[in-house]
Amino acid sequence: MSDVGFHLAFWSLSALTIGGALMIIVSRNLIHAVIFLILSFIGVAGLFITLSADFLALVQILVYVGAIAVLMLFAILLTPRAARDNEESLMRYPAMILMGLVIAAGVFVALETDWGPMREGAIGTQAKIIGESLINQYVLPFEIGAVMLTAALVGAIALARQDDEDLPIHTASLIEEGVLPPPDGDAADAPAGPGDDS
Amino acid sequence: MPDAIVLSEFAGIGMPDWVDALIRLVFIVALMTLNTLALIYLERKVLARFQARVGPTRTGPVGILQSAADALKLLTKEDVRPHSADRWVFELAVFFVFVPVFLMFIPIPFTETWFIRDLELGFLYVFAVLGLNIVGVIMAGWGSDNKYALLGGIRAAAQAISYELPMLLAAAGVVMIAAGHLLDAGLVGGALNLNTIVDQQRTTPYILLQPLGFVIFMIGALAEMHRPPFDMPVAESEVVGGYFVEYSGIRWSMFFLAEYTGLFLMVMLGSTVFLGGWNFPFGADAGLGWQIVLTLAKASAMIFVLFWLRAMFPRLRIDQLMAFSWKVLLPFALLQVLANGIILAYGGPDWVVGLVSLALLVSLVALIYVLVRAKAGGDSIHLEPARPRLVTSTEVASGD
Amino acid sequence: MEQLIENYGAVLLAVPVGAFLVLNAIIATKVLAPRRSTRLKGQVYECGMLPIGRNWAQVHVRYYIFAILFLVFDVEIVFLFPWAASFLGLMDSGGAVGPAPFDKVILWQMVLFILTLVVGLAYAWRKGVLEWSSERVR
Repeated sequence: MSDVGFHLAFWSLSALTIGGALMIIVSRNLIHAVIFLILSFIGVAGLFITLSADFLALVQILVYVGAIAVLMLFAILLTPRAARDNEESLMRYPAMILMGLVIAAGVFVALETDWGPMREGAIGTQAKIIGESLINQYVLPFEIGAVMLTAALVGAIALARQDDEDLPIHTASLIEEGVLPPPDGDAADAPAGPGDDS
Repeated sequence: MPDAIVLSEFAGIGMPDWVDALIRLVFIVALMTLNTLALIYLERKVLARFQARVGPTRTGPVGILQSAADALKLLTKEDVRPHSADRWVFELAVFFVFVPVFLMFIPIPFTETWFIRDLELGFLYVFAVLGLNIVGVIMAGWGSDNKYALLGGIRAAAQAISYELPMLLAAAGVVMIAAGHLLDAGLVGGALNLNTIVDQQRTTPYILLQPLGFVIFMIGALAEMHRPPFDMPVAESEVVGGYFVEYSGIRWSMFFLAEYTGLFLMVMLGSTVFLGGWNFPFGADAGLGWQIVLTLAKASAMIFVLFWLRAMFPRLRIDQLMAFSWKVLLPFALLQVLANGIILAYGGPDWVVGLVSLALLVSLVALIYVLVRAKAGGDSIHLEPARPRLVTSTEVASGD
Repeated sequence: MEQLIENYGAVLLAVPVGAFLVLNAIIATKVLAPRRSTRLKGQVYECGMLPIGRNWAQVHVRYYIFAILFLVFDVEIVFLFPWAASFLGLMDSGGAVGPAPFDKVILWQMVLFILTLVVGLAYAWRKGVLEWSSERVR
């Protein structure tokens, strides 16, 4: 791609990322916020591409958009009434202070870092390099990652799982188990098999 | 195909890269539109034959203009949006559903030299972009402000994410084998590149080495595109058409364009990855003409099988659908990956890989058969809905 | 490397092309199709009945659990792909720990990784999370 095309891509992707991020804060509706977040994620993936990190870009799309954003959408739909009318809350002042500090820290890092051109780019195929370093250098973190993923899974299930008592109980199955008496009256003499269509 | 040659030579004579890409994309746009029109017509015809009917006959000779007439009707149909719908989410959902499907075309090789762009991680790219589609589906479902649409949307999303996992694992199995072949050929990298994967199948298509992977891939493809028998989220009789209930006219047809294009893409991917793309019976040396014919013939055969499956099976219930993915396909796909890894690492030849995969496939089929039989026997009634109380004839007579 | 960015330039280009296609169709229908909006037409379609309330049905928690399961296995697959593309080559070149038989460590560490996650899947299965119907298996 020509230089012009590259700059066009970089600036449009940056605009998408930052614009999406700003709109997350501005939008009152949580579903809208997640959609802007997705746009922002896509922008970040594009920026990874401009850094020749194609594997990271695809993982960004696959995991962040394909899984985490969908998870967020489900979570929002799970909470009743949260998305339509996002109320004012007292928590927003501490949140504003906290985010202000985070932004200040980010700006400080950005200003203090000695930015320079990358000395060595990712050579060869990225996926291969990542695979090799996973196997050679980062074996232990890799296995710990598996344990952490499993722990996250178990934790989520333990938190979200319904208790048995909450389950709807069907009268028919209770009668079958003998908890409830069968319906009285003249129904008793009728043959009450499930396959019977009388 | 002289056109194809001219296009790829365009880049050779110093055409700017983006113009070359644009020409190829426009070519794809035309292909996609024609493909959708043709597939809708063919599906109606084929399904009709399966059901001992004749299908559309009135528009043009043997009804061949039926799709064109439908398209014209949809174009001139009023475009209605519910007043209570969330305007922007509703309108943007169409784009979010369609554009990812369009993007999936980019790494798919039609012939040895004709593709839009040769992406090094093309295989992973297709799945990544496919994931974007899910967001569009949820947006359509939620934005319509319709209960059925929301239900269809989240069900579609749950189904799509569930079947993406076995599909990705089946893909990983192919990547492992391709990596081994590339290593034998003395090449570095490229095991995720769709063109390289096809190139490795000059003698043996990967369906012979990964029959289980192929079956899982095809089931996943059906489920991802919400095709029958996995069309629960878009079923008329359950959720009034699913996430696009509120869409009408051309917007509705955009969902269909996305669905049929996605179907075509999935079979193209299956044909390149498992059936050897442009290879055999004449080999890659047969020239571009034969290559594109072979790729498309394999894809068409697979589409026909998918139509056949639609005619053959009743719709799966949502609980069966999810259980099938998580309890049957996912464990088998994991087994396949583990088996591949162990055999390849210990230097097992290709035919062992194929045989083990075949054995796994046979056990999968046997398992399904046993499960279906057990259910038909009525022993495990836990999957059935609660029975209503029997109303006896005496009750009816007494007027209760 | 330059080639990589050029290739994805086509992806970036395909986004407006695809969007333009949809936009074109919508504009065409705006020109061709009749537009007579009424209050009744603007109603949500619920098979002819007047809709009751909004769409804000609270969705079931099981969707969330399936999404979490998906996320975990998605991350696993993200690790699996680079490994699948390179493990044979690494074993040939001597491996991480040493020459044969230790080069097989590369295989078994991934087997361990997958089995760890299978434990998670088995847990979910055992706890009945994979069950869709609310009537539990006895």
